[in-house]
Amino acid sequence: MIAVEFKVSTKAARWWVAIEDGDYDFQKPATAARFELQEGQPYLVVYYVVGNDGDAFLLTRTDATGKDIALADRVLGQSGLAYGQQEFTP
Amino acid sequence: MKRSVCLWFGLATMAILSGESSVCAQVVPELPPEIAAKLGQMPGVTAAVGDAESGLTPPQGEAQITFGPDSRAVLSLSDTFSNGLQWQVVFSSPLASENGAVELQTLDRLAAGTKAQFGLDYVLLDPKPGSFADLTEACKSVKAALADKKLEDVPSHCDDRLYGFAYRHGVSRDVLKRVTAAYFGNAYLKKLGVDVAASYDDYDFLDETLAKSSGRRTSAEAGIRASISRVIDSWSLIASLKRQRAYRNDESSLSQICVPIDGTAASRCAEAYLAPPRRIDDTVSSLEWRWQRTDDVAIAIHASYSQKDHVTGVSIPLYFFSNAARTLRGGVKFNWRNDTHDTQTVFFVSSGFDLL
Repeated sequence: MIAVEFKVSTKAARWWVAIEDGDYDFQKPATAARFELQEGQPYLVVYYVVGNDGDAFLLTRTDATGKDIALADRVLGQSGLAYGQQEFTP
Repeated sequence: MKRSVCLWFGLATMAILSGESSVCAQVVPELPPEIAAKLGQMPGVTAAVGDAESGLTPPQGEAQITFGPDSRAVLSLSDTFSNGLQWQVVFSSPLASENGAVELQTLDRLAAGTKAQFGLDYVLLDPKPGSFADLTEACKSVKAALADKKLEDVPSHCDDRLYGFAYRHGVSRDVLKRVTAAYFGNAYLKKLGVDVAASYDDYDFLDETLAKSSGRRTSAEAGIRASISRVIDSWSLIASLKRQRAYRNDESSLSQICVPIDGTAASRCAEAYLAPPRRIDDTVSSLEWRWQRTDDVAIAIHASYSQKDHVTGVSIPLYFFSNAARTLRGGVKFNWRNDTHDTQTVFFVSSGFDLL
């Protein structure tokens, strides 16, 4: 198991991520969401970001060395809510 | 009581998941109705699901007319910002209400006069997905549906941009429903809000010299409310508490006044109030449950309790028809109160519109 940290760099007021891990964990972090995950096993992360129109945000996760890897790099639409899913393997 | 121009300002008519007095869903025309209705005015979500790239859900309006013993006109305006704040302004006026009929519905003493209300809510989305298997399958379904259409520039990622694209290119409602269920299957919408309202009405009475007198009285109320809604099942539970200061004719002063008819031994008699309207302070608490069964059918059960009169009023509106575009909706409302056991049936029609 390795610790994987998820972060959303944004001015957005709120964001959430959840990881599929049997019964999934769902976190609403102030700075980062931290999960203990199995190395080499594929996972699915679902994210929700609420903010203002035009806010850019970058969803990242750390690898085994602690380096940030981008999972979603986009801009909030005029609706102010972005959500989606992304597969990754720690 | 005298009424001339009838512009009534009443309780907010909002979407089923967010409003105060109506379960008429304010369907944004460009969104699939089932999604707009389920998600109501959740900040950002309505537009994001159906139309992520084409713009913010515009400010909403709804006009409603009710027919029956409590005929009235209601105009409501509202908008939701992405920071979670939602405002609403409601104007209403009785059109031809029978005496006392207006209070039957919600024990709202201000509803007897022309009323304006302003409400401000903080909306908090708690967006939990249904299941991860559903997430994967929902995205696959959307991609498969789009592949059948052989479109260009299809977004590659499984996110709201893809789903908005799918909606705009006519992917079936069943497929989009799966998206809603996958992303918001365990989502709750929580709201906490305040509102203030004022209404005025004119009263006729006879003064000490039995001269005809009239006066306008302004009633006011302030309240708080909280609600929780489960997005995917389209039900809401709403609790509110209001402090009201209202005016009513002093029924104890109602008397028959007779004056002789000149040149005869007969008299002409009429009933009149011999005192100015009296002030009534009351606290009204209410609990409401709403459920939107289908795109067209919704029901609510609204119970109110007056602490001053120890009276409970119950109102059950049924929304059961809409036109094809779902811009026009209507239904019937049954009202009852436990002190007089009076019942009331009113019919209503409402129409939603965008302000921009």
